[in-house]
Amino acid sequence: MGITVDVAYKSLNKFTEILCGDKVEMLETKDSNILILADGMGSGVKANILATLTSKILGTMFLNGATLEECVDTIVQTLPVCQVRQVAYSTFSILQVFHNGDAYLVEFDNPGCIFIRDGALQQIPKNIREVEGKKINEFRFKVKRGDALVLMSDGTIHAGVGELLNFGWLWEDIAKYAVKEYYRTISAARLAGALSRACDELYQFKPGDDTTVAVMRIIDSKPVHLMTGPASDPGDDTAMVRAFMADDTAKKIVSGGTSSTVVSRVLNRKLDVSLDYVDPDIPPIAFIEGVDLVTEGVLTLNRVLQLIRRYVKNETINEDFFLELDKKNGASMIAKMLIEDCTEVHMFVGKAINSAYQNPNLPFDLGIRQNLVDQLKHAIEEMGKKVIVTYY
Amino acid sequence: MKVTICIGSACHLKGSREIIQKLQELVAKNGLGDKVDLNGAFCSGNCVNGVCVTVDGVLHSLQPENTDAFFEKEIMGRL
Repeated sequence: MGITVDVAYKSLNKFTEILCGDKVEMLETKDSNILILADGMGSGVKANILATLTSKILGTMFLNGATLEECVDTIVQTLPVCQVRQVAYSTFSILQVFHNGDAYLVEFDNPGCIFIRDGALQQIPKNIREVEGKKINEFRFKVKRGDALVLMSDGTIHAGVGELLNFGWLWEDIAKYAVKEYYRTISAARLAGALSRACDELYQFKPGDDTTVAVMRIIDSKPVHLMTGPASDPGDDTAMVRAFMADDTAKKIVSGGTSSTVVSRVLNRKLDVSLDYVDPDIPPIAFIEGVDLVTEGVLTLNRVLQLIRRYVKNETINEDFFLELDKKNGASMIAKMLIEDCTEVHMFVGKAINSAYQNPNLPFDLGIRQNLVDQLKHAIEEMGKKVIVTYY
Repeated sequence: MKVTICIGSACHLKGSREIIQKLQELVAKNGLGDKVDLNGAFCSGNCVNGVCVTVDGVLHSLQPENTDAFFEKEIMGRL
């Protein structure tokens, strides 16, 4: 049934620590998506190494079809033994969702996965198996559109312990909060952000432990078509616009003044340019019937790239970031669509060179479209989304 | 009267925003809101000069500094 997923996570470092002792891996195989969350014992460098090793081993082995036993065995053999506690230890959760809707959840010592379906909390049955002396819970089930699954490190349930809350934030209460936020948020990024923000507040912004929330939402496939730059041979304009407009299910963005003019001409639809400077540095947007968003090109895309990079780095994803994303300037609107409302991107890139842009008097090098497209492609891929680029 | 101001990349960098602001102010101050129709436009292919502004289809090239003079001559002067 062609399942697509929207995945995002947010980590808070233990107060004063520079490194996080939780690690999230997001992977894609030919027929599935995998989300892994590992929480290394302790904090700082040691925990970070344990968690990184664990998540990378699990990821690499799962990708290559290893069994759970083999994975756990390798982890046990590989993790360095802590000198203080004489054990090698990292908890983990693995969630694998296949495109046909089959799902496989493996949990070892992390707080249980929160599973939301049709707006209600679902029970995940206990099905414990011992592997290498470790008690591991396994759950095989079917996902359907609209489902949300939340993996967490134990920093979440410890939030506020001994300070605002006697026993920390109980799992049941987190789950209730997640259900409430599930209704209010549209993307995995916002749900993860809302949950981790609540933890941060309970910790009074000084987390006592590394705290990570990773969210997977099961969604429809949401392709985005992005056209930028006129074709190097004007004879190809029509073919380019036809290909760009072809998919009815795709959201469509034209980024570029000349490109918009070309689209307007080929489609024989009016191009309405707004004068509304929402952001002094980003030229106003425009409108063409049948195209979801029309913006200026290089300056706007440059800002889009900055926003997506900020998002990928994941360190500054807070309320401010989403406020920025909700702004009504062309760049925020494109970034929001690519981050929150998109599973794959097809870029239609024209290679024509605007001779007027080769002007040393301009304060910004406008002749960088292709370089920008390359960087944008990488940034979007880092979000775990597929990108196809076609040049004209 | 239809006035369009280019807000394409090059014109933006040369000061479209200031020119739009000034023209909007001048139109409002002189009570010409129903006579002068200010519009945006994307690239009209004359990026080499100043900001492209057309008045009823006639192309002019502006800098923010000469917007007042332009308004007097090309807009007030033609009404």
